Amino acid sequence: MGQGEVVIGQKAKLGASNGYGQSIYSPEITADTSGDKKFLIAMTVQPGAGSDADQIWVFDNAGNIAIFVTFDKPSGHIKAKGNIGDWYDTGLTFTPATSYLLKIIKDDSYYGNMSGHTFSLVIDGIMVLQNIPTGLGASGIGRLYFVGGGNAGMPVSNQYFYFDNISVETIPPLNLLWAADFESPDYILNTYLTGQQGWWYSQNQGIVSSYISGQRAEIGCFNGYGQIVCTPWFNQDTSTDKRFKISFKIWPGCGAQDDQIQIRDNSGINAVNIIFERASGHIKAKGYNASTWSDTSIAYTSGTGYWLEISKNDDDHTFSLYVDGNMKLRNIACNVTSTGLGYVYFLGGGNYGTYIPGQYLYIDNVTVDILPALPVIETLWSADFESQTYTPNISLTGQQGWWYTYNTGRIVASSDRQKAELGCISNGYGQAIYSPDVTADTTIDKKFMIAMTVQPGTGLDTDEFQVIDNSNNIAIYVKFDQALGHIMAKGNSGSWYDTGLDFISMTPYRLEITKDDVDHTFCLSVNKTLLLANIATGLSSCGIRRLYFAGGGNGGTPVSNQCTYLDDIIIDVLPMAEQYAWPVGYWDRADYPESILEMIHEGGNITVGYNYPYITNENIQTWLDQAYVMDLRVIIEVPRGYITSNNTIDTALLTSFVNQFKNHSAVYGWYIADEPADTKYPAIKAGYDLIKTLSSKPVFICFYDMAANPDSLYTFRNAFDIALYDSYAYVQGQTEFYMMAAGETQRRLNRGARCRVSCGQTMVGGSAGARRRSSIRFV
Amino acid sequence: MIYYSICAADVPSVNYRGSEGWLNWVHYVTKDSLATSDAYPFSGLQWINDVYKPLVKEINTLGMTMSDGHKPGLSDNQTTTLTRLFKDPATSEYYIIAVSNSNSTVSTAFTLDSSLGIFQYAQPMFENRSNLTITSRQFYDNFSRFQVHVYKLIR
Repeated sequence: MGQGEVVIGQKAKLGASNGYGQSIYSPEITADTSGDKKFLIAMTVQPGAGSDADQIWVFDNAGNIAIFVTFDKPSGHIKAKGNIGDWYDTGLTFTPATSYLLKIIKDDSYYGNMSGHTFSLVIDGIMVLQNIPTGLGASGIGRLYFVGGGNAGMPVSNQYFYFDNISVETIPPLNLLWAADFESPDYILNTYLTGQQGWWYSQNQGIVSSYISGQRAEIGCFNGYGQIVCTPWFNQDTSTDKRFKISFKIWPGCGAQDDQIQIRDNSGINAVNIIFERASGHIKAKGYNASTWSDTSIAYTSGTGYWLEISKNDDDHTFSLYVDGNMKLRNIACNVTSTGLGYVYFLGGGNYGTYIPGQYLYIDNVTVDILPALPVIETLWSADFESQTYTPNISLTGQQGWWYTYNTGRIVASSDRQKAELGCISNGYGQAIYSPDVTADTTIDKKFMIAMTVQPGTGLDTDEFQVIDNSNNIAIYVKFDQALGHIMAKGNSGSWYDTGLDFISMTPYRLEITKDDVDHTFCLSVNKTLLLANIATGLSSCGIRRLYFAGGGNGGTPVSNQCTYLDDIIIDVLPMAEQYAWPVGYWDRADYPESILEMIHEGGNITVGYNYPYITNENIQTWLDQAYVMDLRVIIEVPRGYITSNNTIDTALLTSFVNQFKNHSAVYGWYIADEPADTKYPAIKAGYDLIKTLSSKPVFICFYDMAANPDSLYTFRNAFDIALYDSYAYVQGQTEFYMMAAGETQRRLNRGARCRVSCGQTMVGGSAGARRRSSIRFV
Repeated sequence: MIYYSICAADVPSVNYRGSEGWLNWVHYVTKDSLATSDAYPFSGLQWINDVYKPLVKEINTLGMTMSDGHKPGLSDNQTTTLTRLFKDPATSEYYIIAVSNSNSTVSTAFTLDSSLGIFQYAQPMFENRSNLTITSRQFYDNFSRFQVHVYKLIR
């Protein structure tokens, strides 16, 4: 009660006349709680001169305080933090009784680490803190809270905390991380750019100039020499799972010196270099210190504006370059392992000291954004026996949760490291041991990677390990078969699969097993070579409870080097798509990239592209590239002439088509047929089988609820992975929902449901929707 | 309507889940389409702006929750009402999606399992309605033909 007041000038004031602070909540905002939103919270605030901190808190929709911003009186700095951790210092010294424009960007779409969502803080137009973890996974904006205006009960002049012009809005998912639009009043016309809004280099470089449609930055000196301007340091997160998008409009000059753009990473290294090369007249690009430039083959015209967009991908240290919306260079190596986004560097407008008209380089609309984080691999459990937590020269049983009978296994120290040893060297018998309980998530749609280094011994007994699931079933067996001399594996039942790999005793092998609980299969790689793929576990149970190891025996007669050694065991949870999105989108055309941004802004995340006969593979490449940058997943239609048109497959063309696009990151899967008649089955089945030999991505098919054959889902059950089921809700001349109302849609879907039972492929369907045999994995 | 695609034909006996995606036909055509003289459900409105986008917003609100699969602990007294209980893995909030597959008006009683704990209200989402009181783990609601309700359970 009685907290705060509205004062002359129509702004809110906190602080009591007795020198104590006050606090107040905003009304409930209850902004959208979905996980993929960015919010912009803007306000003007005027800190007081009192000793008590003036603060703004942002609550999320779960009632947590997600963000704290404080005018810290002891330090005189503005600071901020999330729900956890220490304060981040903006380094900005504030002046009491001075008004500041605060913009807080709460980003619920970005949570690429375990610390929850993030926020950024922009003060008076400068982004002073970026991607600070809130420490929370909850989303939305519940309300705001303001506290301040106190001086520990001793009133002083200007102690009050004022705030005004508060707004909370949702920013589109691809809104800007940082931007420089020189039309903004923030930029002073006919004034040097360096020194404005964080732009920097040496003094008096560049100028904000006017042109026919507003203002832009002009680079180059009237005396004919070039100039350099740099954006502010973004200091973007240096973790390796980021992707940045930098775009701007640029008008190259006509001076004899090349115009250049460099994207500097957080180590200040020019990981991306773009040049308007005078000698060739082309736009080219290369990574750091690369010996040759990659040529876009674009013959540019000086004085003409070009939209450039660079996607810098820290996951694989490459970049791609778009010019006027078309991808011209893709996945060019940055040639550095350093990461992040430091700043953008522009150099140009030079003519070796002799001024000529048109020599200047111009830029405008510089925008920087972070593309959605790539999936994160979560390590569930690991055992590196070098760790201080393991004691050498004693039994492994009893250490760090390892168990079996007493005194089984031991930790040994070799010349350079410690490892686990199995096998009793005194009597020549093998030993066995269980790992600690891992108890990984048992939900059906997980995928795990189990990796370890195994060094088989010389003993006659087979060395074996097992992966035990959360229902205590042995899902995977792997063995070093001493009789055959091969590494072999199998699921819970059935015969052993032979990798064909002749192993050598006393040689370490790196084994990697992926356990896929979506379709209950596993794969085995040895020394990074895939040797067994999609072996059925024979179980429907999920998860990983523990591992089991046995080995190091020689039938009871000890021999030298009989022991088996283990090291560097790790279990990862591999990324799954549904952590990020529920698939929603539209069919479209594979030559129509114009729709992609629209679909993204409409909230979609996936599309199916009709591949009409006139559409070329080059069209498709452009379309896919655009989809990749916008993070839209694509199901691409196989050209109908390759399969369905002639009711036979063109093996050569289909193979070529799939091979051309199968590794494109935007391609989620293949659309094999659109509402096919039953007569098409032989060709579609043959096409399906061929695609599956070429690509691991799922094959989609589409049926509809007025098809002649009500059993089409079942009929085609061996020719698709995921079915889309068209349910036409309204057809001219028919009652709305007439198929559903008559129960026909339901009946057809139910009939199709037999698929899973009979052949292991989950039936799919839905109202104009997609249902999948496995989880949609956006990777 | 969209929730039909989420829940329809979800047949527990064969252990497969409801629709796990929603694709519309077809963007480059639909984006300019108006419902003119047709009595398409949203007569006079523009499909993408007035129908699709709000629905996608709803889907994206519940997408993470739906992706986690529906949970046990909910029953109802109508064979024509498909009801599914979901739990947001991030917030542990519970949601119900209920779809009437009936061509006529029905009243449905929902019963929550005691293992879920005590809830006070079912809060209708995406509708401007008051909370429904949960008494003895039960609450009631009416459905017009093919109507969909989404509830958030409030403790």
